[in-house]
Amino acid sequence: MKYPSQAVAKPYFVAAIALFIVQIAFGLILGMQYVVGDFLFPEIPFNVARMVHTNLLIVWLLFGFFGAAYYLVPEEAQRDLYSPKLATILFWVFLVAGGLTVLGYLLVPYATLAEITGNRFFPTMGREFLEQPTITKIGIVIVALGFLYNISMTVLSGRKTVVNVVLLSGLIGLALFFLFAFYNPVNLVDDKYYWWWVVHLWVEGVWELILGAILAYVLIKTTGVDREVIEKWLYIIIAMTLITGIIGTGHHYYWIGTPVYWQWWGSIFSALEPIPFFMMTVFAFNMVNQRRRDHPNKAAVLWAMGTAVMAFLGAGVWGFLHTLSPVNFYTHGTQITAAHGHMAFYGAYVMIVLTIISYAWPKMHGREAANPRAQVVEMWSFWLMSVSMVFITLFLTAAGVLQVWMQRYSETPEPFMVVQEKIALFYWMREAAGVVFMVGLLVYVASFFVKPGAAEAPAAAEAQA
Amino acid sequence: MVIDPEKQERRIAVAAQTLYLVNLMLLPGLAFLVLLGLLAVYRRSDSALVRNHLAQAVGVSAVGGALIVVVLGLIYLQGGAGPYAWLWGILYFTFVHTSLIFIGVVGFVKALNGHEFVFPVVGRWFRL
Repeated sequence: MKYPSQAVAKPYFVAAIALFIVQIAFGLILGMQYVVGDFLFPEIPFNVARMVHTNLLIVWLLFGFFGAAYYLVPEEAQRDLYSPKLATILFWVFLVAGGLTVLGYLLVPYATLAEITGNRFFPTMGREFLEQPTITKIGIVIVALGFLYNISMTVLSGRKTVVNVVLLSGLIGLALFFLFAFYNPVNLVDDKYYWWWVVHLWVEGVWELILGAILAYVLIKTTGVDREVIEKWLYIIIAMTLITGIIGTGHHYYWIGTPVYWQWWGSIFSALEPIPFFMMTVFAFNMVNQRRRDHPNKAAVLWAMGTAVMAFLGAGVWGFLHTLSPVNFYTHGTQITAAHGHMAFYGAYVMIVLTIISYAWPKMHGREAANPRAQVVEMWSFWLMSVSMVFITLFLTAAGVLQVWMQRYSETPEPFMVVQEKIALFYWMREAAGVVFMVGLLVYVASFFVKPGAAEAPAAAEAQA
Repeated sequence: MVIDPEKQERRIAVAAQTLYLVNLMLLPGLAFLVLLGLLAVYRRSDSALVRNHLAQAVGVSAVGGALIVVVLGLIYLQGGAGPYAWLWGILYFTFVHTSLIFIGVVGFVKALNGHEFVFPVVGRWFRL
């Protein structure tokens, strides 16, 4: 670690992983509720568990992105972070606000939470993924503004690199598009229209910039390939991301009451959305193939390669599967969407956060890489989580195809709950794969505590010294 | 204008692997025909790199196409157009098609860097 202030990333990474574990625990509860409807009812109803599962995902990924920025921006800018103290204060504000919000979801009925947080004065609650009380949303904006101020001041007064500028652009976009969470028009079409400006333009827009910048940074560090080469790739990837992703928002506008031209715009541009992910795969493989050094942190390189592959699979292939309007007519809101959502989030965003943690954590502890035994355990966790996510996706896809057929395509469509009963076998298999995912995650956490073997211990101590 | 022969070889190898990927993702059939044209022109090339990538791209495209068309045909014959035929058809197609793309990416990267490449499992059948 070149600059002491980079260490402020540490609590962000710890919080991210802790919340990740809770998120997966709620995922397992949800998976069980799909097949045993009254599991943990009335303590944790399905709608609450789902809210916690999805909200925690967003919050821990944000912790991961913030931590990544605090770690890599000073190194790229070649100066210490503008204000490490501000970063630490914002960490606690964000953690306490997030924790209280989740406790609110779990301890009181949602309507009561809306009442006690004063939603009636400025109503923004009650919308999928944006369920947070208005006061929490205001807190998120304050944290984001403080964070952006800190990062911008560091970038502006230091060396400007493509990685830093792309990352900062992504983070500014993240903050800007979140503001649409406060726009809550009465007209439901308008509401949905702008709701997607937060949801879609985050994950299929500005978050991809953050992903690209972090991936480029890790590849520069681990492969030793010229920065200029990697930066050119990054430029092309983010250009394709924005060209396809912005108008690609149209694939959410097919059935919400918007004009018919969105059927065409949405289909054409979102059919092109796999291109940046495909380029990211070629980019990562090419850089590793051209590498000029064998970096000792094999686990970080594995996570980086895995990010490119799984993001292409989850966001690119599974996104394309149901993005064309005539196909989406049958598939929207089915388990095919869930299959895509799971693998896309895991491949693109979970894995990039784990990549930067894998790279930065040993550095923050004075080592180039974790000891070989710890890396082996970490790589086991990579395979356990990735393979189980592939199976989760396949089982949900199978459930989705049958659901579409029986509930929507058949000449004698069957009711929703009848179909759910018929595809329960796939939900059981998904739950089993989810348990393996949780095991993988726990193995990942365990990898941080693995001590070097007897033969490696002297070398590890020397490297640390 | 003098063209660096090594660069020219690499360009043809990259073209072969690009057409392999385009055949899978953008213009199935049409890109394969262009690839066959490239094979007709350069099949006797002095360059081992060119022959390697042409043979691999053409051979694996043909095997990949057969894997997709024949097995999907069998699934259709077995299950008609019923829900389970769709289920197996979609899962099978996605698995095979994506695997062919990922292996193609490796071939493309090898061509970009001027290295020879043999596709796993079936690649050793194809040599010029």
